[in-house]
Amino acid sequence: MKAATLNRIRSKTRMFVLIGVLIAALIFPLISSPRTMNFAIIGLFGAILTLGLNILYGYCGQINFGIAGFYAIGGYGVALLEKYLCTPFVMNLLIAVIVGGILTLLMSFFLVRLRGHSLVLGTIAFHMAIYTSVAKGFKGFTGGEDGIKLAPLMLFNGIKATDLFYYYLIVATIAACCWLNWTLRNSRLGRAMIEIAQNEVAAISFGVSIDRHLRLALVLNGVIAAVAGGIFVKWTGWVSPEYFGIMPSIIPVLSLVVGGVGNIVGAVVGGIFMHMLPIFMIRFAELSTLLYGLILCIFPLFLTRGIIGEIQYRYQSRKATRSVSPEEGK
Amino acid sequence: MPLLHIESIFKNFGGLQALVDVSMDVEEDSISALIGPNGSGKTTLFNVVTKLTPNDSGQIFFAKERIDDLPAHLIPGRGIARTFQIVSLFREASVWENVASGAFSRTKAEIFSILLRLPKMRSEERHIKERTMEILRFLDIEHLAEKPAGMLPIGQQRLVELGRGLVSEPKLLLLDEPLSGLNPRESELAQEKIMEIRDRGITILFVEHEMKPVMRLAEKIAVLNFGRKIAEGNPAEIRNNPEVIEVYLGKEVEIA
Repeated sequence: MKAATLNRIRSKTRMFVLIGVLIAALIFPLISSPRTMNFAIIGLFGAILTLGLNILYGYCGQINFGIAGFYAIGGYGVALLEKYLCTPFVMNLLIAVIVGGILTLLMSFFLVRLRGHSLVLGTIAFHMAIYTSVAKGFKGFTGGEDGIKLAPLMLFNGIKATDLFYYYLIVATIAACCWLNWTLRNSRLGRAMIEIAQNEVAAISFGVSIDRHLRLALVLNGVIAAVAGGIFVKWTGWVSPEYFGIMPSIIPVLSLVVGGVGNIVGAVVGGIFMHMLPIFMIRFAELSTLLYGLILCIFPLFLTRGIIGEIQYRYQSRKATRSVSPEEGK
Repeated sequence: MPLLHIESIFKNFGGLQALVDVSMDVEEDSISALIGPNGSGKTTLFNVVTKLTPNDSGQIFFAKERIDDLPAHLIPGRGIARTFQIVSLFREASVWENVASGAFSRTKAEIFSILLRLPKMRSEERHIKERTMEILRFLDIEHLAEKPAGMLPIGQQRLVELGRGLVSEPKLLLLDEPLSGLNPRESELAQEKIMEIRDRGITILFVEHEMKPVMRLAEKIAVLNFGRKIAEGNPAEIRNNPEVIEVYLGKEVEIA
C-alpha cells in the first residue's frame, strides 16, 4: 500500500512536470523572435532523431551510426515525389515514410547479425550507400549536388505555412515520438528489448526472438528518422546531399550520450541542446567539433547515465533509500 | 512417460567431448539434481535442453513432444524456464520490471496494440503486474518491488532471478547453481522456496556444487563426469556408489 501511494505521488508530480513542459512549448513562439524560432526548430528536429535512436540504442543497446541515411530517405522521398508526381505533401510524407520503413526492414536482415563495431560500420555503410546514390549515382534523377527545390507548403486556406506552423507540427511529432518511446518501454516488447541489451542469452531463455525485436527497433528508428527528414526538407524548401552528411548520424548518438541513453527526457533535452550547440558557437565553428569530441570522451567515462539520467537516478535512489530503510532496519 | 526425457545426447566442442551419450529422465512434480565436478557438462546439458547450444545428436522430449528441433526462443513457450549461474538482472530497472520480463513467452501484445495501448494490451499488462506481485509475495520480497535490482544484495538478486523463472508459469524449472554465493541463512531460505515451488506443481531440475542441499532437496540425482553420466539414483544410492565417491566426492568430503 505504501508503495502504491508513493507511486501515485510520483506519477502526479510527473504529470505536473509534463503539463508544465507542454504549456511552455506552446507559449514559446509568443515570446521568441523569428531568429530564435528558427534555431529552436533545428534543435527540435534533433530531438526527433534522438528519440528515434533511443529505441535502438537506448533500449536494445545497439548503436546506429547511419541515421542520416534514414533521414535522407525521408527527405529525398518527399522531394522526389513532389518533383515527379506533384502529389500533396501529406501523401508524399506518408509514402516516403513507408518506403523508408521497407528499406530499413530490408537492411535490417543484414544489420541485426552485426554487433558492436561491426554494426557501427554496417550502419555507416548503409548511410554511405544512400548518400552516394543521391549525390552521385542517380544524379540525373535526384539533381546530384544541386539538389531539388521544393514548393512552400500551402495550408488549407491557401496561406503559406510559416515557421510557427512547422514549430507546432514538430512539437506534435516529438510528443508522438515520446509517446511511442514511453508506451514501448512500458510493454512486453520494451522489456524484451532491454533484456536483449542486457543479456541476449537470458532474453532467448524468456522466449524473446533477438532478430525479430532488433528488426522492429531498427524499423521504428528508420521510420522516425524518415518522418524528420521529410518535414525537414519541406521546411527548408530545398533538398541537397549536404544536409545528409555524416553529422546527422553522429550528433543524435552524442545527444543520447549527453542526455542519458534509454532516457526519454534525456533524448529530448540532449537532442535539442546538441543540435543547437553549433548555432551557439557559430563564431568558433571549428571549436564545436572539438567540443563534440570532448563530450564523447567525458560522458562515457564520468557521466555514463547522461545528465538527465544522472539527475533522475540520484533523485530516485535518494527516495528509494528513504522509503525502504525503516523496514529494512528491523 | 516422464516430463522431460533426454535420450543419448552427444555434444562436441571441437575436439572436446562435452556430452557423451547422456540419457536422463525427469519425473513430473519431482526435484532432481545434476551434479559433477567442474567442466563435467552440467551447464552444457542445461543449454542443450533449452536449445541455447545445439546438440550433435540425440533427442529431447518434453511433455511427450519432441523439442530438440525447435528454435531456442520457442522453448519457454512450451513450459520450460531456467535461471543462470551468473545473475543477469537489469540493474537500473526495478525489481518488478525485472521479474515481469520473464513473462514474455506468456504474453501476446504486438506493436500496434502497444502503440495505441488498446484495452487488450492494458489488461494484459495489468495481469503481468498482478502475477509479478504475486511471485514477489511468494518470495517474500514484495517490499522491494520498486527498488532498482542493482541495489539489492546477491541473496535477494538470486530470489529475483528465481522469480523471473517462475513468472512464466513453467512446468519445468531449470536452476543453474541457485545457491551459489549465498550465505547459510540465505541458502536455507532459498532451499525452502525451492521445495515450496515443487509443491506448487512445478518440476525442478537443478545443478549444484554443495552436497548438503543436493542430498536434502533431490529425490533423484544424476552424476556427470567428463560428459558421461556415471550414476543415477536416489540420494542414498548416490552416497554409496563407489564410482561417484571416487570421481566426485573424494575422501575428504563429508556427506551429510
